[in-house]
Amino acid sequence: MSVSPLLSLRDVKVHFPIRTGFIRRRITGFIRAVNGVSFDIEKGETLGLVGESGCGKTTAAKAILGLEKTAAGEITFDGKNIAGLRGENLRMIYKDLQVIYQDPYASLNPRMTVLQIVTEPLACFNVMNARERQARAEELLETVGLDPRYIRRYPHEFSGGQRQRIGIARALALNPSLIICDEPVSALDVSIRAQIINLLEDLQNKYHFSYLFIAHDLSVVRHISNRVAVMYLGKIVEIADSKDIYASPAHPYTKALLSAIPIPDPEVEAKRRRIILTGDVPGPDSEIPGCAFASRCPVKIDRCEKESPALREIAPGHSASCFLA
Amino acid sequence: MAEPVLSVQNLVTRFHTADGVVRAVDGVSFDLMPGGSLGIVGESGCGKSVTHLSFLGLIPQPPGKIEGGKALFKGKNLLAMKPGELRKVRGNDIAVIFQDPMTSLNPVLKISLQMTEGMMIHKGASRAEAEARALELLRAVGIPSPEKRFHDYPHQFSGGMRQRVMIAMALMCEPAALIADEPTTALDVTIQAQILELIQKMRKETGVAVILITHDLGVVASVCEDILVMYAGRVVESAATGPLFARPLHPYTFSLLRSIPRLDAERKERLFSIPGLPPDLIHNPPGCNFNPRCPFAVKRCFSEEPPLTEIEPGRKVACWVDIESKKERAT
Repeated sequence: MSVSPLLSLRDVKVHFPIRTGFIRRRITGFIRAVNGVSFDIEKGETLGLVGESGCGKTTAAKAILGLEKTAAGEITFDGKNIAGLRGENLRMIYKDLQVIYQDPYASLNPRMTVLQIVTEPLACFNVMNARERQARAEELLETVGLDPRYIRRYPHEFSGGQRQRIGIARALALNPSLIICDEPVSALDVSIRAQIINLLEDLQNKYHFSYLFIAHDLSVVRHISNRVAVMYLGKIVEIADSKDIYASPAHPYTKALLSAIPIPDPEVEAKRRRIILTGDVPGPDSEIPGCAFASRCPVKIDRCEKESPALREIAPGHSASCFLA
Repeated sequence: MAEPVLSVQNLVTRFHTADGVVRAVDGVSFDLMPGGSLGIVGESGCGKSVTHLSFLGLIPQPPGKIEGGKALFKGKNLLAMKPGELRKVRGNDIAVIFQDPMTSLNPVLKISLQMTEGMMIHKGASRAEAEARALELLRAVGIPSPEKRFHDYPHQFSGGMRQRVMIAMALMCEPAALIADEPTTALDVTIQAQILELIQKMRKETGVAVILITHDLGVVASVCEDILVMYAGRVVESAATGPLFARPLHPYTFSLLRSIPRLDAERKERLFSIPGLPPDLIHNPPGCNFNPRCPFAVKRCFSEEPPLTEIEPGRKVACWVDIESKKERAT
């Protein structure tokens, strides 16, 4: 195996305080958005992170980027602990760590030209002079499949898919070693999604960086990722090779999630058995002594409500947090 | 053969904007059979929502204008009705569920009031009758202890529960047709599965005909009997679900199906992708709307618009090319 992973999270927690009271605001509880998450990303690898809305996948990404304060845990990037970095020290990690956001309308400044947007990372780190930057921007636009002549245009002149390409060009500007993609295709139209997914894959083949690919759509994640981690209420419930996660899911939540995804083929659909979950998702502020999924789990036993199952390896490279796995 | 509940014929809706005329819906026709389920699939801006908003009289006019066609509901043309007559149809004979259950319920009214209002107005039911029916429906859609939740406000329900309330509310007046416009897009996948199952169940129990509008081919594959594929304001293909997925005959349907990563398929190196963008509907290309992106386009596609033609019983395609013979080339 490889030497040391590029990014490594160990028991990372992000808690948001709940404040009540009008005059004297007191902290009366915590929302445990990320509640003990550990995973590794190797060099050149794509790790998919899936889960439903509110499961903490974006908060985990923000914690890695230093945009959210961690309550506990270690984040190691390229051999350095980056949890809790601030100011200049934090800024320096963005040379190697970039992000692509979900909404291509909100993540580009409407008052900046494409040239300014794409070269801003270069300007921030004072790399290259103005002429070199423009040449770099033109090269980047070409790399992401946009006409370099568009360099003086503004974001509103582009479609959603094209804007996402601009966002990708910006993320590539500094040749980062890890790019976090937070739902990069879910705001795009169906016929445009495949274009962007292919582009992301081509770029990785060319530049060999790693992706943390966050999405709620398991079919997209499985397609693009080497390994997939499934999150539920702030915890990773299962992590495995993307082939195994579909072929032999171990956690009941993963099974339900897979069975809920419609497959565009009526013949296959007719034969599938769908696991319909009942029960409610516990509120994010509730303290759950046992397994967070117990309230909706179709196969739970008594132990699940008292004890929280740890993530343990059930096969080489395949871990799940379930007593029954 | 039975008469369709709803028959839309050659519907044309345009928006007259400062930038030009937007051909939002450009000659759409379909029939909805009693108790049937029709899926309308397409990308955003293809006119799938404007179609039903048009015949329900919910298009702001101006800038919108319905410039042609008919929408026969039980033999009566909805497009020729006065607003007052149409109001008696909407929510009564034809009910709609919208995408976002957060914004389609009134946040300051209890759901008991919102649910019963329609039935009291349309059917002249007393409050007690309407409340009894509402409770019965809330139970049918799977709201636990409906008596306790009946006087709650919408914010006290989760997203999935709110969509259940919307479905129950839509069924209050025993409509003949239910239009579900992206009913699960705002919901999580596990909740989506519950809601789709519920729509199926209610269709079987009440015999209501359903139009399901979505961009997700997976959703229609599991729920609908017939499918209408729309692209840039026009219907490009219509068929029964089985044949459509087994043998898509329009290049757009064909390409779209191949461009979606499938959960059950072998992982491929690359996805098939459709180049380019949909047209902006003001500057449509001459001929077929899909021609700039079509891998099969021939000369004729750039000059003449292909009509929607029945090529097999129950199967219509708007394309000049016989793609069956050319599929090999694209693979």
